[in-house]
Amino acid sequence: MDIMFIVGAVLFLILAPILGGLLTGCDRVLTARFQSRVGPPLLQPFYDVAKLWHKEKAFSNPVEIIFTTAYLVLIAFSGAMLATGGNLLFVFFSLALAHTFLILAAYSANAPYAHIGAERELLSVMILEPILILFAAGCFLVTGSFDTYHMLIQDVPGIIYLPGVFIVFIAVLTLKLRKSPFDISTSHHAHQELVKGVTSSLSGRSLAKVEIAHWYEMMIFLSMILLFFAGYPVLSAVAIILVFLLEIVIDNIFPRVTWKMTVKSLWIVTLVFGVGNIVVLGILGGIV
Amino acid sequence: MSSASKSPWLLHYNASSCNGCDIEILAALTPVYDVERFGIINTGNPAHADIFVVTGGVNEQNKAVLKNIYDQIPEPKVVVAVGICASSGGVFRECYNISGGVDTIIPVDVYVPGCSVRPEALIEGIVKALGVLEEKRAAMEAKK
Amino acid sequence: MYPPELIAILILLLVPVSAAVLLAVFKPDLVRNVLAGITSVIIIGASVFLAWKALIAPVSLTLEHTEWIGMLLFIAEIGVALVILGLSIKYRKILPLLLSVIQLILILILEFFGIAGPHAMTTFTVTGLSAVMVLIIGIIGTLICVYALGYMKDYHDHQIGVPVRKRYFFALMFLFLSAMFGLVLFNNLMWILCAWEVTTLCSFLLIGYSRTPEAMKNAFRAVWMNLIGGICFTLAIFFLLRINTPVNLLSVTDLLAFPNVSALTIPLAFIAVAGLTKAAQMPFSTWLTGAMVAPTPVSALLHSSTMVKAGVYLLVLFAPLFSQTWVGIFLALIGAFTFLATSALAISQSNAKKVLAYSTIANLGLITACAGIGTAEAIMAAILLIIFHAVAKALLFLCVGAVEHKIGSRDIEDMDGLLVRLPLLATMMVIGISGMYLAPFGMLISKWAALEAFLTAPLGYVFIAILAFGSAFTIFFWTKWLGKLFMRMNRPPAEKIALHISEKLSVIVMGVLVIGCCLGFPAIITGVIIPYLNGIHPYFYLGNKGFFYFDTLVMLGLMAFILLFLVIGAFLGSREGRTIAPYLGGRAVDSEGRFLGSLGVYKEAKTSNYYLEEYFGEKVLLKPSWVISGVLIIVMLVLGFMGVMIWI
Ligand code: SF4
Repeated sequence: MDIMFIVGAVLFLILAPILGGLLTGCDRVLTARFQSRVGPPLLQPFYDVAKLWHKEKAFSNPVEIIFTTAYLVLIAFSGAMLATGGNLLFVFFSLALAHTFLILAAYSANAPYAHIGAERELLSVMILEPILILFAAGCFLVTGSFDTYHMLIQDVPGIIYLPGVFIVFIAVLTLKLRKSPFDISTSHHAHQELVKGVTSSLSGRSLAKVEIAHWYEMMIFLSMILLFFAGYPVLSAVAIILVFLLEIVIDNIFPRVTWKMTVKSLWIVTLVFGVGNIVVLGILGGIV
Repeated sequence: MSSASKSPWLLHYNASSCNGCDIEILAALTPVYDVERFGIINTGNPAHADIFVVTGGVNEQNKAVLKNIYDQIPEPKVVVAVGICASSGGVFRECYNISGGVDTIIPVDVYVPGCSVRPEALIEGIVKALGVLEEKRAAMEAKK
Repeated sequence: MYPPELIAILILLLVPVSAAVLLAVFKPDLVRNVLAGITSVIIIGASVFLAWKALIAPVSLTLEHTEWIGMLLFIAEIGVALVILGLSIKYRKILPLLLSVIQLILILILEFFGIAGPHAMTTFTVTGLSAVMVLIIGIIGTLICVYALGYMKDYHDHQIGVPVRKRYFFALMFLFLSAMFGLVLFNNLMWILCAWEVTTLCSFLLIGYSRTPEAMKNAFRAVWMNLIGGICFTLAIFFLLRINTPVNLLSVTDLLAFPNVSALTIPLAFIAVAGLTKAAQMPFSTWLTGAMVAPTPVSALLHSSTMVKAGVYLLVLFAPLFSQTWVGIFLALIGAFTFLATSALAISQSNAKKVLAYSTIANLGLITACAGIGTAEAIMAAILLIIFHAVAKALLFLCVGAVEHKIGSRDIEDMDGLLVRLPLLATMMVIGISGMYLAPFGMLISKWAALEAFLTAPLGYVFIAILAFGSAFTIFFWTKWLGKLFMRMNRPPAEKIALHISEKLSVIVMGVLVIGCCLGFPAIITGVIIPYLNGIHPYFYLGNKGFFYFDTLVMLGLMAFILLFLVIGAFLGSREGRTIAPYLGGRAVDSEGRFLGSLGVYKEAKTSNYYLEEYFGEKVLLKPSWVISGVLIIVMLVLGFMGVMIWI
């Protein structure tokens, strides 16, 4: 059992960035096709990171080296925790801590764009928080524990009990894949404010770390979809692919969403579907 | 060919150009020319950039800015002067407020002439710049 | 010979009072410093000893001739009411006047007609909960008093117009501690009421210390709100006396063991209101936000170890009774609602003390919610919250106070780059802020415990939803403050103004305490909370409750390890590389981070944090919150009178 856990964690730590990078590549190619362009090679994200890694060491404040490292390490740590069937709340706590470090890196840059970027990144963390807590609460109501392990060995897939939470989850994924809203995002689209906001003053290796951390984070959020379809591997794979495609479509048809619109729309979705789901589940007395 | 030339990120600065060249640069990003094929991204941020694309003859007001942006780009970096204005000052060369080309302020690696440049020429220039970038990177590695 | 526990208790009750008297007499600073220092050492020693004894086995002591103590306390109570009465007349304040008259009459009726005769009962009880409180008051309270020794010097240098009344100030601070010790150690509700009223008086006088019109206004607001609490407390005692039973319901221990809870709903509802006022819950929150006009040590004392903690102490004490009633559910709703509303309000504030005030109210709201739910997990969460909040909040107040004297502002916007300008204070502030909301600090453990408690409670899903959004707000306002400290690191350090030794000492000890509580939380749970809970819920067993698994400890440990590694890395890591100037459209930057404008002048580009006032401002949120919480309180009282119980 313990060996399995360690193997799971190690596998995640190795595979997640590879898969994450590939998915980002797919995303960029697909998005280009949507815009009737050819788009970059599939491996472009890896080229980018490799290039960044070899750039000169330059920073606007040396502490950002440690902050971005902390961001990467903690994101990877949360992922490993998730992969070992660990406690969902801990995964979320450590994700929140990781993001705090990213935000601090932006604050420490002493630059106006970075500061506004940090504030907006913070907003996106705030938008996400209720959803994560509701998600954890939903898992608890279904399995009687915050451990993802219990969610995975569920006989009935979680989506039966948590359809509302799943909808909310898809809605926030747009935020987490860093594509929308355009005035927070740090994606590769040309359409954004703040010269890439929170990462605007990072360069070279720091930026590469942030990039890799994004891949990890994307994999964390995509693999959480597994929790909704536990026990049905094929179904989960299909669900993940569908959700991912859906996100790209959403991204391309709503290119000019502002952060205010995002807060309002996502929180309304959270209130209606997420809270609604938990309330219904609560009234029914949970599953356990 | 190393990763450096596979993912060149651009920063475009208009140093008092007439906007003719700038429009052509943007045209290069559109579906027709699609420079993202070469991994090129228009970043708008010196900290992320590798290739500095400058248009215009550089006047008194933007000399300091040009120099400053150049300093803010981490090594290895390549400067591409786009348009005849950027290359030599062009028709504005004799103006009292024009320095007469980007290379009067910062070192330029590739000159792309034209008034305005055609996107094809621009892409050609950037591909040239990739070679220079590659050399600079090799030099950087060797120094270590 | 008296047992050592009794001696410790008597020290805790009497030494601060005597010190208060002495401090009121002697004027020289040196005498005061020595006196306060010695008293603090004695109090800390006695409270640690007593807590240690109580954790081994709950202490309960019965004295024989308690009538005279009762009489003494009764006189003290009358005295308190008369002082408030007098000051209300002096300052022409109608509402406090009316309320204190009502309170006076109620107390007189209670004393002369209420109690048939002296009942024999335990005099002092020290359970795990009171031991925790004793430690908080004893250690944090005295540290704050020590801090004040240095602070008040600077205070009077900065506030020129304010008359120097340090004797009065320090006497009140120590009197406050005595009253708090009484509140948590007494077993007789009448005596607790007396201590309760003394804390009201002390806070009133301390808030009004500077005697500026604003201070007086806020002091009177504090007093009338707390008088409502006092009256409710008295009414609760009235209704308890009306219950026809051989059990002496004025004894807290007997009351907690009383089997027929459905008869108790009315007094419980009144106790709940009393607790809500003192804990500054909505709609009574304004007295605590107004209290920040007082010198910072007073705020620190009110927020962390005394006053508001008295309110939640009372609620947590009676939590097992609340757990079976609808009064409890509504109490919890008020708490949860307060958490949500004040966390949102904190976003819109840039005044550091006000942010701290709102965050205190929010945390107390969470504690109130847990107390109202009253299950074993909920009580555990509440006690953890009390502990972690007390240490972290005291630290933060002390830091803000000292920083204010050094940089001349308590605005968060002015704290940019503090880590370079005032490294020690800013580091402590970072520890305090992280202690309030970041993993792996203790607050998260309590949040987790609260989540789990809510999930297993009736109507739990409502609380979950509220907690989810509330904690989102919490993250927002803390992180943006934290970020400010790391901003503009290229600023020149502040000119050297030495921190007073007493301030330095208290701040550092408090910082160590925050980290210590975080590291020691498993010990706190197993050593303090579980034994206490077993006293109430004999079958409570943590192991199968889904948390506190060994694994999670490992995870926390790993996380702490990673952080430690990173901190070491930050100190030792290589900093080689080129520093590039901050980017603002390529504008040139000078050494102080100012940008070159087009007219050749360097100017500072000022960006501020988001405060989102159009959504979270006081103007927008306060009034609706008062209405909602007011309605909730009325419903709670009605339910109390109807005596509705929960059947699960
Ligand atoms: S080269 Fe011609 S088109 Fe380009 S900026 Fe100069 S004048 Fe304009």
